[in-house]
Amino acid sequence: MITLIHLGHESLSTLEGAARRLGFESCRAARPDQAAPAGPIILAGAGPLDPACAQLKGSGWWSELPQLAAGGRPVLGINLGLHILAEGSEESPRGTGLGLIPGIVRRLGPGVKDPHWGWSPVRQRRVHPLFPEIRGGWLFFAHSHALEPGSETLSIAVHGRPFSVMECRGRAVGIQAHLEKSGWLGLSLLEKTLAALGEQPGPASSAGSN
Amino acid sequence: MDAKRIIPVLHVSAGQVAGPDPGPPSARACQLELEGADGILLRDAGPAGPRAEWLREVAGSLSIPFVLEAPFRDFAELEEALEAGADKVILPAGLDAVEPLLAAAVRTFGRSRVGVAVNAVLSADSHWLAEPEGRGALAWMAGLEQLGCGEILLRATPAGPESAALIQQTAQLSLSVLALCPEGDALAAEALLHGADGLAVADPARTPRQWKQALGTHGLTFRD
Repeated sequence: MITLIHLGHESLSTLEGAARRLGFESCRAARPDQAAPAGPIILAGAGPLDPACAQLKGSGWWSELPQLAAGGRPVLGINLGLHILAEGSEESPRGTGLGLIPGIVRRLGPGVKDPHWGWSPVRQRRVHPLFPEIRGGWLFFAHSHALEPGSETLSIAVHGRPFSVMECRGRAVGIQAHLEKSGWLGLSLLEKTLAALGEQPGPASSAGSN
Repeated sequence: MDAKRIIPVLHVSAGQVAGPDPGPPSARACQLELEGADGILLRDAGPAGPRAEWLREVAGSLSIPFVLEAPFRDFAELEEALEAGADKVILPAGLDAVEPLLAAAVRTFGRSRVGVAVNAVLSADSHWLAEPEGRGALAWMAGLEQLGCGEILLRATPAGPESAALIQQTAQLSLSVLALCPEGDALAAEALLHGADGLAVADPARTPRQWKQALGTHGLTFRD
């Protein structure tokens, strides 16, 4: 079962709906003791970084996530979740990230639309044996900050300059795009990503059918 | 480069799509997703109370972003809409106390989740005024940008060469510009060619995919 970390103001309705349509079971967990006993943990969010980190620290997730990841539990960060999994962010210069994914998150721009809200083509930079390739497809983005691409970045998009779309370090995965809002392609990528993290849909799976 | 967005508009009243073909907003929005929409703009002029339930239904069934424009009376109403699953809220033109509401929403939810509708009207002396605010439209929009507004939903009346110029100037701001679609393909294409990031379209006779096919002949890039 997928565990969706509930970050206060965040709505999880779209992500829950996407998981349901793909045939995955999911549960919300505001605290670590509400998590499913196994399966991927998804940290998804949008909006300011500091309140989200404070929420994670107050709920116990901040200390628990690195331990779970070290123990082999898959962790998937989406959008703000990727920023939290990284080492740090310009959005909060005095804070640090969880460091499960190397690299620093930087402000987009200058000289570009901020926020970056729209559909961008994604280019594959490296092929990973487990994760799906995103070759030329359009994904939906809504963000003002992004992780700088590194040597192990799997895919990138461009908004003024290239930024990382997908990262994978062991069982920690970060995705900048909102797969759950990226149409049939996003749902297909979400399904394959969850499968790569060991989660299997039930018999009611309808991936890509919409 | 981002794709230009085609965003169908659905008017919602008492939790149902208004017009000759009423029904649940989630069903109509899903149909529009299948027809190639890049997002959905839901307009609800009704009271906030019953809104959260159908917003959750839309969020749970749609795989593209959707935005709610509604006459939010206070922060709590706006917060309820975003927590129910709207990806963004648009504060309508003429809303009371739009500046403090915008600033509070940006602080809590970030720039990407709040926009403002601007109704720009060309005055007799050829100045664009934001109505009913009664201010210079460009200065008003620049002020909204400073407050953290992430998107302008721009209606420019009348549509024509002057409105294309207004869109071009607005597009110089760092925020996203969604133009309410003027009548006629040539004017719609002009809005996008002059810098609008997307079009809000309310023509039920044409699907989003048909809009993309019609406007694609003008050299514009759309998502497949």
